[in-house]
Amino acid sequence: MELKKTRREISWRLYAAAFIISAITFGIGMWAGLQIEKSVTEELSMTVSRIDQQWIALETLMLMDSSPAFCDYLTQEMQSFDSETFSLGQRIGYMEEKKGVDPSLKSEYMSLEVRDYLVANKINEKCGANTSLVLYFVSSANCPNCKEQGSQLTSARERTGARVYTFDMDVKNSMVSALAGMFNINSYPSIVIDSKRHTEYITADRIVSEIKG
Amino acid sequence: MILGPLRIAEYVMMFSVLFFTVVMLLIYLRNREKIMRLGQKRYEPTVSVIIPAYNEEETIKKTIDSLLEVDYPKSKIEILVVDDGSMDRTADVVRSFKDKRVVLLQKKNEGNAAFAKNYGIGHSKGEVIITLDADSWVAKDAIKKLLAHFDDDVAAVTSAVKVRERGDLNFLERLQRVEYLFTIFNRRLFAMINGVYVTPGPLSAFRKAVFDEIGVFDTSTIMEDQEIALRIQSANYRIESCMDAVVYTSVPHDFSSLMKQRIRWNRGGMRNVMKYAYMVNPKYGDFGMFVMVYSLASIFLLLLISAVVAVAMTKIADVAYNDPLLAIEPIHVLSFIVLLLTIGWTVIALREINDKKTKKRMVLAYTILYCYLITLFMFIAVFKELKGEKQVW
Repeated sequence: MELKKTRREISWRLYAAAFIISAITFGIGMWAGLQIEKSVTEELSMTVSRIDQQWIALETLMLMDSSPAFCDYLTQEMQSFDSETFSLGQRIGYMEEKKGVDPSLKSEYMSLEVRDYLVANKINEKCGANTSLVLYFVSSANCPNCKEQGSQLTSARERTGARVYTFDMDVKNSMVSALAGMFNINSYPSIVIDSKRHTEYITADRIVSEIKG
Repeated sequence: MILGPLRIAEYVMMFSVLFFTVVMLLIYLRNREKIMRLGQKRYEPTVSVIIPAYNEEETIKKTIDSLLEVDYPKSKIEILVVDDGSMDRTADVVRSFKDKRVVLLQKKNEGNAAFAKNYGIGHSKGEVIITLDADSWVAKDAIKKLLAHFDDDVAAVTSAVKVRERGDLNFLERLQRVEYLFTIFNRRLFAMINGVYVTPGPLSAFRKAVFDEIGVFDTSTIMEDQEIALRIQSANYRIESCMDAVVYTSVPHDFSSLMKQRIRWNRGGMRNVMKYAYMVNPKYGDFGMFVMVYSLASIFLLLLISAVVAVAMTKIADVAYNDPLLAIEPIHVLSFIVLLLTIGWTVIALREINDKKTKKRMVLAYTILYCYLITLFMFIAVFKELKGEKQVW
């Protein structure tokens, strides 16, 4: 049997069919993935609204009565909302770091934080609670220390139980802007610990000592 | 969804994996009737079986015994055992065979099996050269079935390499058993587009004429059985794949041996693919435009994958503390689709090979666990190549 050269061909039709099938499958996969992302965002948005409603209810109750007996109830409620708000913030933060988050969801969450802060402040005033409140203003632009500052604040929160509110100044939110205006914030990171403003990077130890002091 | 450069690379890789899978499935569907068709030619040339052997006293007897029992005219077959400078009793075991078909050739060891194979080819008389590993045993009808696939333009025929059947195969060996079966099927699919890129060491048949034209095995490579296949393709000859010429071989039984073997294969494979990169050219048909493109792309894509994996690893700890749904992105859905297609593809392969022994959980373990393990070995091989680490056979 004499050895002969083979005839080469390119199966263009096969590759074209494979490309079309792959593109359709890819499209379906992308669509399904985006739908899941969308439903997760919607679920988070609904949670923000639900917690916000709870804060409004609490605020209304507080306006009605501030007797010591009522203060106990308010303080307890506030603590339970706080852990829920914190967990929600973690989820949104994780999502933002991992794959980005819808700015409107983030803005909704920050509005919730502002409401939380204002109510907590009022409870502190009216009921004599001494919960430390820390505001953290952050921006992704021109802020090399912001990430590390965030870690320091997390550490300080774990050690003291203070309530830490983080505001991303790159996301437009009139309530947050007004709050930043109250403390004359114009550089980042900026931290307000129990109404005292710091415009430089500060360590967890210093935050803890300020809170305790 | 944020689309950074790494994320775009992930999606490009995912699409290319999906496209490759779909092409293979379409090749199967297009050639469904032909896949299992046995070789039709009645071809009974003189055959020289070359067995390179280095310290194989434990296995060589069984290998030769299996050859002496094959269904092929005795006057047309010679068995050349090339003792490659063994330091054990390999030569004595071969000498103990009184059958005239068994010939012992002895030479000093020169570092790899290619030298021994070439030595055997130099002493062979057959029109067809069959190379057989010294730790592999052929089925009785294997040679007839291999030869039945030769045609005018066929320079080589590959066999169905199966893991040696034993009752006590461990988990790793059973995973490799699935892999070998899957590979038999895939090689057959590649043959349908004239895209076979390796003539496996355990058992392959070559027309002597092709060695006369393109030369013998390359002694400078650690994967001479792949290099010769690429050289045959570059000379525009066909390599056929026979799914029913069975040879049983031993496989690594522990993790470190498997890793060592696969790193060697991958490094040798990468070098060969780079050497023949010029074949990415329409004049080589599907071989150039599909097989070679994917072989080359797999090296470079793996570099990208390793970067992606490195970044992803840093976030694994985070995922554990968060709602898993939060982490789901389109890439995960696409990965799941590819996984399902791969499972389907493996099931089709096992069904076509008529394998009834493999349990469903082994198919899952193979697609979910083993495929990633093999990819890990590829990463290590790429890393070692980039580092310029010396590779010994």
